[in-house]
This record gives sequence, structure tokens and C-alpha cells, in this order.
Amino acid sequence: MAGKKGSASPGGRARKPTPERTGPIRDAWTPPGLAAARGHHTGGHEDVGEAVAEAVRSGYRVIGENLRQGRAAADRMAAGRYELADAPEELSVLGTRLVQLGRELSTVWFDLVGAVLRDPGLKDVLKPLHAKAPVHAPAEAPVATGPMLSVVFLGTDRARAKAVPMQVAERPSSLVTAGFHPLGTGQPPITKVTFKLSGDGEGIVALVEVPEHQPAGHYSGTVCDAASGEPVAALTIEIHG
Amino acid sequence: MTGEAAPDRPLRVAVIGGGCGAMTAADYLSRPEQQGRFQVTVFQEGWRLGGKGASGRGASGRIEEHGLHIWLGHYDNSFRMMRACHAELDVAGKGHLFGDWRDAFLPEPDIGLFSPHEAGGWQRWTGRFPPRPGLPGDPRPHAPHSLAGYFAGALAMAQTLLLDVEVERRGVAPPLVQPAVDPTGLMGLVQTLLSRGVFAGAVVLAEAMAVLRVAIGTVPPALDSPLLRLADRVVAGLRDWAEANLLADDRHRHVWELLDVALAGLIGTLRAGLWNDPRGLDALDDYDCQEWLRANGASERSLASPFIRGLYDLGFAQEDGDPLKPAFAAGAGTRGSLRMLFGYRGSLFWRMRAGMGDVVFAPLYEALKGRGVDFRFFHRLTDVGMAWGAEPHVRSLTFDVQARVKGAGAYQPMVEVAGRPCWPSDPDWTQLEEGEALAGARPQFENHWDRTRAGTLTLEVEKDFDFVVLGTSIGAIPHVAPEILAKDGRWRDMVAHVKTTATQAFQIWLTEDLEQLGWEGPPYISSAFVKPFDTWCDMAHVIPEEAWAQPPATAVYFCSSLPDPPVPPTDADTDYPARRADEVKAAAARFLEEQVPHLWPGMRDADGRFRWSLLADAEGSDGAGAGPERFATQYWRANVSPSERYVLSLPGSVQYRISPLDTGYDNMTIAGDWTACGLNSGCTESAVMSGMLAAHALSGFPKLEDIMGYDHP
Repeated sequence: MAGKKGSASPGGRARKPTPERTGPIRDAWTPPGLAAARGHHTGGHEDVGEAVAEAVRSGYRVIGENLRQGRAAADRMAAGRYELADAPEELSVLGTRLVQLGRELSTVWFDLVGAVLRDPGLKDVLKPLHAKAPVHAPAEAPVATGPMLSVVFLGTDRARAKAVPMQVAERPSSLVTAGFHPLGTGQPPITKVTFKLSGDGEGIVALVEVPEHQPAGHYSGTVCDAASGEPVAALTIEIHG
Repeated sequence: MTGEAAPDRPLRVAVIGGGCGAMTAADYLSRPEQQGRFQVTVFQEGWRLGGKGASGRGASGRIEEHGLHIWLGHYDNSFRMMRACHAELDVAGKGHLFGDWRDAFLPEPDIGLFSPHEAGGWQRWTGRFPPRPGLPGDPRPHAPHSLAGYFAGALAMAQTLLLDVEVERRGVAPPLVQPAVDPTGLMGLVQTLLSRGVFAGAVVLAEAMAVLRVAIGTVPPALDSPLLRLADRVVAGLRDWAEANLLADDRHRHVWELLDVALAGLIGTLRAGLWNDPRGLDALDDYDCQEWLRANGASERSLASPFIRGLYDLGFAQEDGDPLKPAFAAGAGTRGSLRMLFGYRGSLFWRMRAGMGDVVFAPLYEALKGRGVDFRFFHRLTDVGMAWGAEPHVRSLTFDVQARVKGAGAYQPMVEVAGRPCWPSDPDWTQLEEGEALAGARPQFENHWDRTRAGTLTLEVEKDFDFVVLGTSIGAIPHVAPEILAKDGRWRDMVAHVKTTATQAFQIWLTEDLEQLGWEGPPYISSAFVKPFDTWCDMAHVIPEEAWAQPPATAVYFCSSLPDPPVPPTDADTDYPARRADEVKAAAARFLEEQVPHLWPGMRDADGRFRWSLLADAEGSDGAGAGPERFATQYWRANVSPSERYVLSLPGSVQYRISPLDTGYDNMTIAGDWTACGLNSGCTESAVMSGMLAAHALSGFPKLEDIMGYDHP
């Protein structure tokens, strides 16, 4: 109990205790003890260099484990199934990574949400938050035997591709591709490709935007891990006439 | 042990008011941790608890609120209180009444903001804020808040934005930079970067931001001069980069505007030396938020962004309710914004399953009643009598007894709607003496100008009470505590400077949902729309909580501030509330017809006529009409009574707030979002923090360090 004890006047009237303080502590600085506990040091060039290097690297983790969990949580929230009974641990892990990544207001996040919501397979099962009926995950959610790279085409129904297994880089970062190039000659490459976590959380989906007049043919490309440059999958796309 | 009077009886606490502040104080004073030291009695005007958060049920059990109530994910104290309340009810075998707290509060990650389009009409920016770890109300580590931490978070966001744009622009990620390790350590790195001059290019900028992120978490404040120069350089570099890369791209622009403002604010705190100032962000409270951000480099475009306008709208931050006078104290505004953006848990916003009265005050009432808290409805405080001298204190409390309960029993305030206890929109006249006459006259017990009463009651200190928690809103203070104001300059200053604004609200129920009416996207919480009703929210989720024979498809709530007349009304102007309500009704109908079709095109038919027939009539009458007259079946209100007015944090006003810990009177404390409560802004969380401080003032519980966010820059 803080402060001087309350007391009664000789007439027995109760009085409040005197508080230890009457205002908040407005200390704006992180206490040095806390900073030290976080592993930041003012001296030791290896520590400083590594801390800075880590801060640089953290901005590069665009897709990976963190986004995977974020996608799953965002799907649940969009579907109105914010099952908080089992969410806290998931969110705790997710949130820590998200905060570290600093992706809170990235528009790439918006793009991913938009892409998911446009996905015909998922859209049907996504209900507004106010729906009373429980919403279930798609019944056809695949059973993963290993990470797969599949393709969703945007802007066309003339294309198809087969899902392929992925190699997982030792320290996964972002996925990049130089685009899908024609196996024939003369056709322009397909370069507008982004990646997202698949709905079951076990693989990656390549979102491929096919221009309206893209010539028919086969296009092939390699998907690589951005940090290490090592290839993780090769994809072939077929555009019909 | 507080107050050693009469050891064989608890100390009697009179809690005046039933809003968030008062109820929090009542909650903490009656908790088991107090071991029965206090006997709490709540005195409430009218028939229901809630104050500005009160809600009722009208025809068809429809929810009727004062306005749109949204909780934010950083309202840790508020959520903790509600989670504890639900847990207590569950243990007491009453968990079935209100369900789990997670059924009562629904996460809302989507926000919609509007800006005028150059070509006319409105441009919509929508954003989804991803979940953060934990849930609001979870325990926090001590000292979680620091300007360094906020700055690091903003830089991380900026860094990711920069790299996102670079990836999108180039198609591949820029090459990973491994910064050279400087043998002289971190400050050597800082000096090296400073020696480079302007930071041009995303890669160099990313590296500089990384160094700054580490530096601000490591370098002691005494060395902030090179830190400030580096921060200035980095932010200038970011602005140049944003000008070159973002402004043509709307999808990223609003993210940058948000960051621009956040970084300007944080740079400002460095320049102002706040990191060494014991006042923290309070040192900025004489400035207006926008002015201060402008002075620290935020662009006019960012300051005019829908995000900033939305922040002002959400806080009704307009002096005198005048949209031409936006005003928000920079310290309180910055603190609130930093906590909102960087401190939310679970979701940024949280909706309530039903009306705030149903979701917050009904379970609180049930829990407190179970602990033995006494509730005296229909008691309106009219005077706080003082004893002056060496130990000034409250001597008496005088009430209008607005109505008496038959048989001198306790009034039973709840009704059941859709299987849950709710507050009705009118008293249960059948429980009251002269009930039939009252039902005919329909006195408005919450209306300041309606002085209907069945009698008066005066309580005296020592005889009837020991302590007072004055939990009325500040708007009521001049009416209930004139004696204090006459003698106490601190209180006079507080009342003169801590101002309030009237608000207006309306609710409609529609037979088609917003998607059918042409609205794309989730049911956003939307703000920064056109005046007078700039904030609105699709509330379709409450329809199942009502009791319509034929449920409408959705309900939509609108609200905003309401400008005051040039001459304030006198107490004799008993028609004032009705006149203002008529104004709101007319403005709402006009707004609906002229502006809402911009949002929901389906509100007009093929010939461009407004489809009034979409408005659902809760009374199911045949005579509701199919034209504009049908608006009369909806709900609107002008919140003009002094205790209904929304509390503002105007520049220069915050210093005059009085803390519940320091009222100057040894048997009284205060509770409400108008007090010096740490957060110092008009919102539920401020009121709850204030109520906790009030309980601490009387009992030492809760500890100040357990009031989350109280100790904060």
C-alpha cells in the first residue's frame, strides 16, 4: 500500500492517505538496464556491426515464416473466425516477428489480402465479420507432403501451370524471379509475379499477372531465394490461344 | 490501512455517476483485494448506468446509443477490467448471461479513410492493420514504452516501406548491404554516415536507418546531438526518396503520409530535448498537433491526409464543435497516436457485440451488485457542500430524487432482449411511485433541463458517507460544485480550460446490406468523411442482438461533433435539447439523401431518387411513409446535456487538469476522462485509468505501476 496511511480526525472523520506521488513518470528514455538486457552495447565493434547488420537484414525479410503465419491469421480474421481461444500463442509468435519486421503498414500486405480475397476458392468461404454462421476452411485444403509452389493467374483464364515441389533455403528470406521467359522466340516475358503463402499455410503461391494479349506458348522461369540467390523451384506456365 | 474511523464498519464511499470512470472506481474499491474495507454506493441519475457510454433498447429491441463506440487495441486497462469482470461472473455461475469476453468484443482490423478527389467526390483509402502479439489487457512488462522504442518502430516501418517499393519497382530485391564494421563502435558509424552528406538511394538510406535504429536504442540522451543530426539526415533522405518514388503511387502514398507524420513527431521530440525532459510529451501540450508536426517537417500533404483528419474526427477534436477550429494538444495527441499505432494488441480496433451499455455496463453492474455494491438510480447530484478551514473537505451531498421506487425496494433496471440483460431506453415506470403519471408525462431524467423530482436527499459526512468519488463529467461540475469553484482557483481554472463539445449521432436500419447497396469491402470503421457526419460504421453484427420480427439487413451508425450556438443556453431554456435534436434530425436526413449515395450508390434508384423505403421501421407501422418522412422511424440524438458533452484536449488546457490523486480535499477524489489521468484525452481508456487512480487515492489499490500506460513519456 503506497503512501502515508489515511487517518481519522479526532472527531473520527476518515481521510484519504497521502499518495507517494501525484503524477505519472514521464521518462522518455529506455532505461539503460533495459537496453543492456536487449543486447545493445555501446562498445565492441563486432556487436555493433552485427546489430546494425541485423537491423538491415530485418527489412529484407519480405516473405517467409513470418508472412506465413500472418497470412493464416489474416485469413481467419477475414473469415470472421477469430478463434481467440487458440489464437494467443499463434499471435504472440506472429506478432513478435511482424513487429521485428516492421511490416505493420506495408501496402504489400494489402496486396496479399486483396489477392486472397480475389481467389475464387477462398472468396466463397470468406464471410463478413458479422456473420453468425460459423465459417469453415475450404474442404479441399490440400494435405501437404512438403512445400509446394503453385500458381494463381490474375487477369486471365487462358493459363495453367502445375504445382511443383520447392527446395527450402537454409535461411529463407524473400522469393524473387526474373520472370517467365518463352521457350519459343519472340514472345515477351511474363514479369509481374508476386508470392504469397498458400491457404493451407504449407506452401507458396505465385500470383502471376498475365497481360491481356500475351501470346500463347510455354514460359519458364526459376524462383530463387533473394538473400542467398539459390534456386528453390522451376515453374513452367502454359498460355493458351 | 486507510481511515481508521469506526473499525467495526467499512468506510462508506459515495460514487457519483455511472460512467466509465465512476464504475471503474466502484469496481476497484469493491474488489476482494480490498477485504471489505469499503461499502460502495453508486448514485446515478435516471434509470441506467453508462454516462456517455449508456445505451438503451427501443422498439424491436433495437440498440439506441449516444454515438459510435469503438475500443482501441491499446485500451489495456479497460480490457483488463472487462476480462476480469467476465471471469468473475463465470465463477459466480453467471457466465451464461454475457458469454466470454471474446464474444463481447470483436476485432476490427480494417479502417477506411476518405479524402476529397481532385475530380470531385471522394477517394477511399482502406487499410488492414495486421494482428499484434497478445490480447488487450494482457500483462505488459514494466517500462514498455519509450520514445526510443517508438522511433525504432517507425524507422522499421519506413525501412520496410522503402524496400517494398524498391522490390516492386525493380522486380527484385536490392542487393543486401552488409555495413562495414567500424572499429570505433556505434558513434563512429554515426559519424561516418554523417560525413557522407545527403543519403541518396534506397540502399544507403536503408543502411542509415538501420544504424539509426540501433543508435537510438543505445546512445545515452547526453549524446543526442550527433543522433539528432543523423535522424534529421535520415528523415530528410526519406522525404526526398518518398517525393521521388511515392507520390504518384496512391497505394503507397497514405502509408508514407502516416510515416511522415510519425517521423516528424519523433524528430520533434529529439529537437525539443524531450528525451531528457521529466515532463516527457506533456511539454508539447501548449501546441496544436498539426502545428507542431508542421514545424518539425511534416508536409502539408501529410497533414491534410485522411489519417490526420481521421484522428481529429475520432477524438471530436474541434473547439466548440466547430469543424473550422480543429485543435488537439500535441503532447496528448502524440502520446495517444503512438500508443494507438505501436501499442495495440490483437487488433487496432475492437467493436462491441451490442450497445456499449449492454457489453460494458451490464456485466459490470451484475458483478458489482454481486459484491454488495449498492445502486441508487434516479438520484441526480445537485450540490457538493463543503467545509472550509484547515482541512477542507466535502461536508454534504445533495440529490434530486427524480423518482422513488415502489415499496422502497431496489430498482431493477435490466430487461431481457435476445436472451441477454440489457438497459432499456426508458425507465420501467411500473416500478416507480406515480408510475402511471410519469409514463404519461415521460420526464427525461438524463436531460439537464428536466428537473422532475419526487423529493430531495442530503447526505452528510460521517453520518452517511466517508469518502466521495465525484464521477460526473466535467460539464456538470459548475452545476454541482459551485461552492468549490467559488473558492478554489485550481478548480476554476480546470473548468475554464478543459472544454467539451456537444456531439450528434444518428442510426439507420436498412433492409438491404451495404454490399447490395454498392459498398465494396469489409464493414470498415470509417472516418474523415464529409461533415457533418464524418465518422460512420456498418453495424450489421448487432442485428442478431436485437429482436426484430423481420430483421433488417444491417444498421449503420453515424456521429460527429455538434457546433455550439454563439450564446450558451441558460438553465431556463428547457426547449434547448428538443431544438437541437430537431436540427440533428434535419441534418441527418439531408446528409443521408445528399452524401450517403457517394458511399452506397444503391441508395438511389435508377431515376436518381433516394430510396427512403430501405429504412426499416422498428415499430412495423403502416403509416411510416415511403418518402423523407420515413426518416422519423430511425434514431438520432443531440448530446447537449453538460454531462453528455465529449471531453477535449485543447492546446494549453492539459496543464489545468486535476489528478484524482491530488484534488485538494481529503475525503474526495474525482474520476473521468477529464482528469489528469496520464492519457489525458477523451476516451474510455482515460476514464478507466482515472477510475483506477481514484481507487488508488482512497485505498492505495491498484498500485500506480499497475495502471498500464500511466507511466509513459
